[in-house]
Amino acid sequence: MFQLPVVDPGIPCALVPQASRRRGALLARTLLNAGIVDAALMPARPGPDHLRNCQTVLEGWVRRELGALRMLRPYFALNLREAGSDAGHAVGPSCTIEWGGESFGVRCVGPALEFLERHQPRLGRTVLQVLERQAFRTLPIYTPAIVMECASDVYWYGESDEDMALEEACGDDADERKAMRDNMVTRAMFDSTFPGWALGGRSRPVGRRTLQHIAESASDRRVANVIESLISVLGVDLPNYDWSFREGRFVGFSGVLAWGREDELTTRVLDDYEQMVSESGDYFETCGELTIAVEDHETFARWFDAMRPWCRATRALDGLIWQICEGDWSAK
Amino acid sequence: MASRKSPSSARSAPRAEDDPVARYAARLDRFLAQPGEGEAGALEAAVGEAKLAFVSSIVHQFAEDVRGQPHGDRQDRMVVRGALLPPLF
Repeated sequence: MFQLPVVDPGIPCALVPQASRRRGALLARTLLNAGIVDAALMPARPGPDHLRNCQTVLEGWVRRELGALRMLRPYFALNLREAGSDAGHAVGPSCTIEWGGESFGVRCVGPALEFLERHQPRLGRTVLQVLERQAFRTLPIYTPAIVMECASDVYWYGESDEDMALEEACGDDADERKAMRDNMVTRAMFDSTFPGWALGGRSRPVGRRTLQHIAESASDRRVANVIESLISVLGVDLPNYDWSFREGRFVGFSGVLAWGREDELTTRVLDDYEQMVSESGDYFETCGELTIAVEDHETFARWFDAMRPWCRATRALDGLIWQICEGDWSAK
Repeated sequence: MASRKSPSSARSAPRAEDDPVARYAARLDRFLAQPGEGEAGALEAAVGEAKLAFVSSIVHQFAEDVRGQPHGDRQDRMVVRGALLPPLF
């Protein structure tokens, strides 16, 4: 009988180049030294591709820290670079970690926030303020105030309304001014789409003790749930993220909070803003990036320590956004 | 009073060889202790990682084709998934 050729089981199905295996092994050793690997995160059978083993461990770590999210979609990327030289100095292999969020799309928050504001003055504003503040420390979200900043950037020469732009383009010509105003995004459009408190201002947020009192006395479970989520968000004390050292405009927003179904202003402004930014080519999408020498386990350990509260804050923020986007808030 | 470890708790303490993390750490240390450029390393340097990866994918494809998942005519000659019948003459 004809004997079929067989491949010896000792021949591997995949070959991992030695240099790449070595880089992967160095990273794996560093993760072990940083103390983030435990038995539950280890792949059942660690293969010869150490990078893949690292990937399994890191994915497990992120899943454990973030849990199941309903709105936000954070991502992490890790790029290993070979040893080389920089300005004549030998540089060992390094690793760049980048993180950010993919967009969850456009969701309406007007009904929920107006409901909360009716329930207790400044409550809707407080929710929006806290959400905005914490989002800028984790995964930024387009809110009405940020959309208005975008409008200022795109149409109003950085001013708070269109007057300067009209002055620049039309001078004193009243007809031209009117024609231009009719075709552009104006401050009045914002004022008619959003309540004043949603566009910023200096009103003091509702304090934590008052929030607890409102939650306890609220007969509406939705209000109590939102306050519970809000207190969770406030409970994570994250340092302010310094965006100023990043070059260009940030466009990696994790979602858009429009006001209502009839709110066409938000998408119009954001379309124009993102087109302007993409044409300029001067933008960035990641919320954070860090380059670490592959063997520097102490810096790795510090990064993981910093990312634990980041993940807690992201989880809490996700809960809050979900609360105000979901459900029927139109009925009292 | 200072607590003493019972013999049973001493027995149940994890041994290094039972701990997958310690086992993997030891394996990494052995691997990293090897000189970086062996014969395989020299070959890779000569061939280039991209080409080697390409060759590796061809070998992988070949292995897959021989072991199972045949396509086209060979699919018809299969009785049990993953095992080939003798070729038809």
